[in-house]
Amino acid sequence: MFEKEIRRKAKELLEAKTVDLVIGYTSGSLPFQARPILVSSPEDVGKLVWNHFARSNLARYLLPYRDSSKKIALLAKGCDARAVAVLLQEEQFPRERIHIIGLPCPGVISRRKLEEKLGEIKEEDFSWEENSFLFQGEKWEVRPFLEDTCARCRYPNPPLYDELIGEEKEPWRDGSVDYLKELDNQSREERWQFFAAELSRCIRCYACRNACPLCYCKECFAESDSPRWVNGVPTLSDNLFFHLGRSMHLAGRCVECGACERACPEEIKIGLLPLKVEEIVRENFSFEAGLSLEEEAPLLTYKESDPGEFIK
Amino acid sequence: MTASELEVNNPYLPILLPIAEIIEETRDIKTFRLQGDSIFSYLPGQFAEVFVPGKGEAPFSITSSPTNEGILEFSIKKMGVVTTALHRLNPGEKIGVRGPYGNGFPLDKLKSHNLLFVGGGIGLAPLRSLINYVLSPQKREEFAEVFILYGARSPQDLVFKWELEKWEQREDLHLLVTVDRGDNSWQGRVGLVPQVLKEEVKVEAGEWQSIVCGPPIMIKFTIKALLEMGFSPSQIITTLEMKMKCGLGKCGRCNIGPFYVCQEGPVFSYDVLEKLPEEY
Amino acid sequence: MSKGLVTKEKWWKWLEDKKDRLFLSERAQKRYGSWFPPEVKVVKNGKEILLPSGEEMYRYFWAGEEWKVEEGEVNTAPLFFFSLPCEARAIIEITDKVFLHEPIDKNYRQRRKSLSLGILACLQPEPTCFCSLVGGGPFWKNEEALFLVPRKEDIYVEGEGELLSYSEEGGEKVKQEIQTLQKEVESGLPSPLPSYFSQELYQHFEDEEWDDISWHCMNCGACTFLCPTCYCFDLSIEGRLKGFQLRSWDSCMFPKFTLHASFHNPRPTGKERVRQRVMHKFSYFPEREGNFACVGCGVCVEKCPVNWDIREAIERMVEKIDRLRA
Repeated sequence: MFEKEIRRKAKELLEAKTVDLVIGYTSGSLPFQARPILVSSPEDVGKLVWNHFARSNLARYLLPYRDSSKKIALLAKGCDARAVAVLLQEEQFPRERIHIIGLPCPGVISRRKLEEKLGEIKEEDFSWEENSFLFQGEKWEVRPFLEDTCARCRYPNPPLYDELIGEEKEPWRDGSVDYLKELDNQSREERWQFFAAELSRCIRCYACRNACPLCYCKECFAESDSPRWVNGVPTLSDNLFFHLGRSMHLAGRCVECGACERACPEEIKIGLLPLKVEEIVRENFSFEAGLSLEEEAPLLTYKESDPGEFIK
Repeated sequence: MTASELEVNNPYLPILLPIAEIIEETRDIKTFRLQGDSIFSYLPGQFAEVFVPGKGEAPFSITSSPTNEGILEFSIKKMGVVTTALHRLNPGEKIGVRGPYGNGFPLDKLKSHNLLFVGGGIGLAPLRSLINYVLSPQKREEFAEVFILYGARSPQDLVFKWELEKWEQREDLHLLVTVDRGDNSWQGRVGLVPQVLKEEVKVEAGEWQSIVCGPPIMIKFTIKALLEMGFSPSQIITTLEMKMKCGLGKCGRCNIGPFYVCQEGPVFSYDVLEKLPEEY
Repeated sequence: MSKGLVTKEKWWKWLEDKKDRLFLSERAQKRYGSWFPPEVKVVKNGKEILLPSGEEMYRYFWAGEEWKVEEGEVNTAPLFFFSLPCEARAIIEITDKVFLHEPIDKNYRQRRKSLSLGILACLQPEPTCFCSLVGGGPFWKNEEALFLVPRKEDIYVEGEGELLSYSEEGGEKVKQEIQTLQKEVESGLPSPLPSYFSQELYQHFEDEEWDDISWHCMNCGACTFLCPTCYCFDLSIEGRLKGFQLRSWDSCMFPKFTLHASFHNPRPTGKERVRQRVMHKFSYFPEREGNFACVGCGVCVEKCPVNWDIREAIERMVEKIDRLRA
């Protein structure tokens, strides 16, 4: 899966001092995990991996270098690159200090789904391809094992990159599954029950927020003392307030990467709220965040000609 | 369960005390004099959690001396939510205190020594507790010479001016007051505390103990100056500020290395402090 | 202390009048759920019972003329909590030491006094487990708690109290069986960290290794909130004319944990905060209390969104320390 090319490229960039650092993925301490890694020396590029378990959105790891002078190469899936585009548009990082190695994304696979279907699994039982895998010699399609956040992905290919490794892919989402339709068709009461059940499990560890490349506020409203919106106890009402507030703050900015949902230790379907907000943005403004650097973000742009229907 | 087992006090429960008097020290510092309570007995250098009903709770060093029975004083700079709420209170209103917490100044170690107090800004508040303790008629004999060097950013930022005047008149101590920047009416000394310390405080370090408190940067340079003057690390005592919530060594945030500032501090001797990580 | 076998039938009889007072840890439920009635309350760990995510420490109110404060009430109905050995150890060797030492935390004490512990032997350590590394074990027991090994048709029990009166002498054969089982489960588990570890770790406070160790941690609170030993908390005042002091969970991973009102922060970046978490568990706490503040349950490893693995941090520091000692 293009791992060799990625390592070669990383080595080349570091040796030529085109960049100081490479941010990518490496094998984790647990099977079926690829975790973020910082590579600063050409000798360490062998640690880089690229597989179906690259759960994190690496764009969030750029932010600590915002005020440094480091030049950074970032391995970017479709969603990572979209997040970078938003960060660039919001002037959170200078374009000249980032080198985007675009990677058409094969989708992140859910370990839980593998276990549910295949029973006890070991890493050595698998051999992976882009769209399929062999498990104990038997061939399986990747699709049913994708994380929900990735099965609904519409942009596996980076819209923005300095170079692309691999071949552009067709989106997994073929329109046969609409992740919001089911909720849309529910009554208010049913919807409330669904979200109440989900959000009452939230422990407010803020993994979702911290995994989000676009949640970069220095002080999150959820932790502000004055005014104080919520306290530290994960009650349903405060949880709801936090997640709705976060979703609204991401309106027109969220790139639907689902890193929030994949980060949740309680496996709460937390990505659905921002997803719905983005659907509304799409319908009202024909806009999707992070697809181009030129198009103005509707909710961050003031226009005198705005009909302002919301204040009627 | 025996009766004695039942009687565990709730250590988080404050006692409510009325504000007897509020003294405006500077434009953003007020001293709150509470009517003391015999339950609340403390040592110089200890602190308390002060509770403003409906607003919040925060730790403050006690600035009064326990020798001044029946009163309890805190000097508080307006900074955040709790301090702003405190600054809006009037005499007669009640606030809560729980404590006292922390180790306080090492009185046994200080006894019969010459004492050099070096304070900066509101950092004089915890020192004042010990100064008035040492100067009290009951205790004065137990200590030798007293030298107080106090500085603030400007003449307007000097706290306890009313008391500085009293100290000035005493014959059993030396007082030097300095400001970083003077103004038209300022007749006194101008200069940073560490500088004035080096230039004007001529003491034989051997017989002295120094007690330092002020903003972090002032503490840093004052300690440097004291070391240059021949003070050994164990002759330098300082009191630290940390974010403290419980005061009981339980909530887990105020540690510097293995020491909880609310338990083993806030007073540290520099020979201990210099070996600790610089996480304060 | 006595030992014996309790048959399934008698076990259920013993549970009969306790159904509404039973708590079971999530992880124990996965293994032993069928031994408990459907009414059992499943909790993540003992923290949920003893240190709830939010609790009133005292109340205050405006009484027309002046402010009044009064203590809150703690429910002290007797409860039973069954968990794996690591989770019981988190209570007995960590949170008890913090909250029952002077000054005693009254709320905790009241809940703790009415809580009886049952330790269910751990027969299938998971890949994320490391209890033996930190001084525990799958058969760790404590004299104040019941120790239970559920078997096919009966439960082997050690301890004291009512349940033991339901037990029958198992004899030498059972003793042998339990010993064999323990040996089997414990074989191949890592040996404990060296006794010098906590002291030496502190000597490596300034080590540059921490930059790399901490780099990919996102500083969320998943590990600390789900940890059975992480007890750090926040206190806040809730309500205007009537309210209470709230104790809620806090996390050393959050920048606000140590942020001063002046905006100075002694632990400003992820590196200092990750180091604090490791140091607190593996150096500061053991130096004060005699044991690690980690029971090796592995929940933090399992739940971490970015696979930050405390075992790797420990391993790297052990290597460093041993290299320098050699």
